[in-house]
Amino acid sequence: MKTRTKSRWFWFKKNLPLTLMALPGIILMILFKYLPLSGLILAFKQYNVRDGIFGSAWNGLKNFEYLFRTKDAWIITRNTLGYNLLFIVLDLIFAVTMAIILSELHQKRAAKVYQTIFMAPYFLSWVVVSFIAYSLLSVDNGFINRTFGIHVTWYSESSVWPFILVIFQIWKTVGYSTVMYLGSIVGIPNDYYEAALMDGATKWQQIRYITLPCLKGMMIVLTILAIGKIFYADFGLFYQLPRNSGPLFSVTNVIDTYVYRALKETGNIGMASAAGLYQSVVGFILVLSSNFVVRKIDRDSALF
Amino acid sequence: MKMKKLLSTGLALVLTTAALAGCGGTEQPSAATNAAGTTDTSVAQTETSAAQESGSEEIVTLKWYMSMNPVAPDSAKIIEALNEYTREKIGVEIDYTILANPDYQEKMPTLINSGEYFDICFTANWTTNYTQFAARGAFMDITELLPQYAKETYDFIPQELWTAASINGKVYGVPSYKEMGWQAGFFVNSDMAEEYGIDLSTVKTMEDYTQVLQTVKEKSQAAGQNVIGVSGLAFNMAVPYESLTGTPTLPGASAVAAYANFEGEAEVFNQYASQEYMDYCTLVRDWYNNGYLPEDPVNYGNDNANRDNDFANGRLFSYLIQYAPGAAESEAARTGHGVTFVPLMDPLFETRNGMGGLLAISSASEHPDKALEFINLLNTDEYVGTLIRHGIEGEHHTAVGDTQIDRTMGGTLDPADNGYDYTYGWQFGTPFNQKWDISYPENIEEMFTEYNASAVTGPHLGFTFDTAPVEAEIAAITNSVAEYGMALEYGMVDPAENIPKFLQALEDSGVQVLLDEIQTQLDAWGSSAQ
Amino acid sequence: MEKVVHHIRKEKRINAISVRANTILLAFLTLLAALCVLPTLLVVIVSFTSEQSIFEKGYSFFPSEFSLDAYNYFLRLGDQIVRSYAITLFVTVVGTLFSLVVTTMLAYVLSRPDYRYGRILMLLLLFTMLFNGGMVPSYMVNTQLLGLRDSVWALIFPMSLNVFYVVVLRTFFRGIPMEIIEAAHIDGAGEFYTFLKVVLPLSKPGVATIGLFTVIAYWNDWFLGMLYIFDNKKYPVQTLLQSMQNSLEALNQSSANALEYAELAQNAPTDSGRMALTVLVVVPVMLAYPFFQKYFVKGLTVGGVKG
Repeated sequence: MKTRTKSRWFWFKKNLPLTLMALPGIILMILFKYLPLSGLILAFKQYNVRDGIFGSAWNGLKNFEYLFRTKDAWIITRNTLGYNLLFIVLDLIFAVTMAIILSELHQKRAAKVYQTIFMAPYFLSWVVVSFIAYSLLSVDNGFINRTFGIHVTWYSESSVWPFILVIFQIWKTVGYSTVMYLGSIVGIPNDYYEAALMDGATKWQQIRYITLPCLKGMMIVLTILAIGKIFYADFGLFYQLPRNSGPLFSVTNVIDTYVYRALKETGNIGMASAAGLYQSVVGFILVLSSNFVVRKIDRDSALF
Repeated sequence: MKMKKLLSTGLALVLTTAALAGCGGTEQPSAATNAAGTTDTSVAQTETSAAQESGSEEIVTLKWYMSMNPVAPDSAKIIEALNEYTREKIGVEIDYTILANPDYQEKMPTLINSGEYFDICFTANWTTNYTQFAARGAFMDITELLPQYAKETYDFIPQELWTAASINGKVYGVPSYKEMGWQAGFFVNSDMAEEYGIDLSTVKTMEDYTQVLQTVKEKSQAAGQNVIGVSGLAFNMAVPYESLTGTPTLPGASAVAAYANFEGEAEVFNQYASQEYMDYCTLVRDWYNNGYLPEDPVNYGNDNANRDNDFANGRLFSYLIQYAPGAAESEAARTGHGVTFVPLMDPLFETRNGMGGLLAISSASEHPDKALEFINLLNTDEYVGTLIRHGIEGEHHTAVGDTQIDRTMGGTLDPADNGYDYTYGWQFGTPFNQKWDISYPENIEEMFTEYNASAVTGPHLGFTFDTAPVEAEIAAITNSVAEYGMALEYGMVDPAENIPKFLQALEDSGVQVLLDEIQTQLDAWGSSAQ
Repeated sequence: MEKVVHHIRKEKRINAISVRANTILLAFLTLLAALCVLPTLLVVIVSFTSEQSIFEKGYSFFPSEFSLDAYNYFLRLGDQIVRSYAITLFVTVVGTLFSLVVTTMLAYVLSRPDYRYGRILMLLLLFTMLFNGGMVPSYMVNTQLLGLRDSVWALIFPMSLNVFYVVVLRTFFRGIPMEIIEAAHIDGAGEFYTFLKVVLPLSKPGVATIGLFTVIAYWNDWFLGMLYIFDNKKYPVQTLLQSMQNSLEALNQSSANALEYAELAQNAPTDSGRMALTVLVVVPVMLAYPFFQKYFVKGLTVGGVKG
């Protein structure tokens, strides 16, 4: 017993300098992340302002009911999961490809310029993007209808919207992810490539056996983190871009837009908490399991 | 050596952390004083302390959160002048925070939910949800206090308005007394109507309007333009009914005898399942197919700016709107062309119209008596009413006779440069006990009286639906209505095919549970009211 | 030394992709760049287009008439907009520095495989990334406990720790071989010294990436200002503009009757106003981006070389 406490103290002392370095972050984490977590119990409460978070009456799982109330539950879950899965895969493929292309370009200055340009859409808010999209898709005045001389009411054609949503999402976010992968590629020591060159490796082989393996860590991390958010949908993409058009709901309604519409009238914070908790729990389980799988295969790449 | 490095490293870190903690620590007191005596009213702060130092009369400081668009630059100055008056009159000083309407809507619900202290706040059914917060215990029940501390206001405001503003017979806020009811109709570009030779006086119903729309289309196309006939369509405006939930788009309607519609329906019914709904949707579907309507209603759906532009530019002939006295004149001034209002109904006064704007008192307030006395002044004192709307005489307006003011100060002051000007300012309380700006018709108060006299009273006035038992159903139903309602009511989709789908979705979302709950609460209300 | 560098350069050129492949890729990238630039350019052009022209031609790269009306609307804000930009600038600079110090240190500690509490700390952090208590409890902590209301720190502290950045940065740090750190230790360097003089200089691209994201995050944030700043003279520029934009959309929601509606609508910004708003927000940060990248990386290099 005594030796155990001693060894624990020993480890603590040995790790103290690192712990101190982490301390400011830990303090911020406690203040701004853990203290507010008490709000999670609101999901099980009928909130009363005067009684506060802890004093309000419990109401069991009633706040969760609306999430599973109807057939919509299936549609919003399917849409949220489906789109996010697609986004994760496409974003990974496009961002890594773009990063590699940019890093291989002869003109390094041009690569910088392109990199900056690809970030541009990321800066535009969804509201503004929705206006640009409208100028393309409007029935009578839209660029597409005018150019091709067709007469399609895009905002009630639900069949084309999965494509429109995916295109806009990729267009807006790939630049951002590319920067992260590019940062990793730049960090790869040059000697790796030199050694490969001496062994007579082609460009493809270098990418296949050096660049991609070096990016593996980043790819896994970003993917696991994205999986954690798989039940959260980008509200602006699904609400602003289709302009809240009813006939499109079957392909545009996701958990976040459903909750937004549901609570706009009542503003019930218990129900809002319930939705958040539901999204979090699913995300947490998925992160734990994907991390478990990664850990089984390659211990070093796992998040924890 | 190593030890020393380690020590210095540790020290540096401790210092950093201490500095961090220091930031938070030193910031706290200043922020705390900020919270106590707010921001722009430093004057109020010093005065408060002065009053406290003299230790004499208990001058009470009231924390008042107000929602108003836009925030006038001279607000602090007005409150200073106001405090001078109220200190004498009722021993009250105001600690004022004014926010633009949208900002208020973002900040205030969180502030109230977090339990922060305040005495008075603005609330309504369109911002910081009045009924919800009353139900959540945020506001004080002032039913008993009203006749005691705000007698003049209590007597001045008609009893029906108190009834409408009450929840289960209890009043949680002082409503703004102005027009009592709502009235739907078309705002029409009357210049264009004249040009096309359209006689608007014959239009009494939606069906009558078909002829007008056809003329607009033919004549405008002949002139080489493509004028859109009408926009802003909504069933709940075109075919009036009493909304028992307080949200007209939610199922739960009751027929109003004066309108002679919805015959044969139960006391509580689903308006979307009615014959009227089918008829309405069929009609607008025809309009849509004939090209009288905007092809992309989404363009107007989320954003009135497009509609306003098009209406001002003559690309849009008319739109459906809820009217108030004097509105056509204002719209004409904005658009620069003549605007006529074509009513589709007599005004209807129902419960939700009592909740368009109220001043509520926090349930945690330490001075509800003083708060009420202050609200009483806002509603009955002509000096206060004029000051809070039009600012200081000689600086923000000049007096015109005994009953009017001029915000341009005889044309010398550009309204854009006026540091304080809330013309109509109904959010502060009733506009009837103030001097009106000369831009309003002189008989503006009579217009209101006339309007109110012509209003039909809803059969269940004073009934406020408690959504708590059916919030899950309401959440689901709201989504179903958003999915089908607008598309159907704009004529975008075929009613014969989509109304059955809509009704099925409502069924799945638990519309029957909602209707039953309304009926149950209605019965309980009816028996207690009698 | 010179020679070696020269040698490597040459080597690199040999190792490059073929000229033909390079040309094809360049063409491909240019096409994609156009897809990204044109809509942004359109936003800029529309912001300078007169309402009449928008009404006649819709959004167009070649409007029939230019106009500064949209910007005049914002100019009316006078010195408020200058003040707001100053606040945003302060928040962005101080916030980014503060956040980077905390984030890099935390991420570095987590990246060390020999750190005993790393796994549990990582789990604790990830937990907060997935779960959050919602707005109301955060509001209580920030106002009642920390007294951050109406304070510029309310715009800095609550978003200074971003777990996502910590995790990404940790991945960057993991790319540094442990042997280098151990070698520094053997040379007698303490943990902090090693971090500052050995690890940071080696992770320039990573820190620069996260630094950039932090700048963007602070620059773009309007929500904290909307929640915690009650005095609109203290609004950061994003909150100020967001508030103006909201006032347009809020018109629909309010039961505002037609009478006051007409009054409010008179001043509301329209299409071009909205685009001008975007330009005011986005263009400064986009223009700053290349400079930022250049000097930021240089700054890191200087810090490293001196040691």
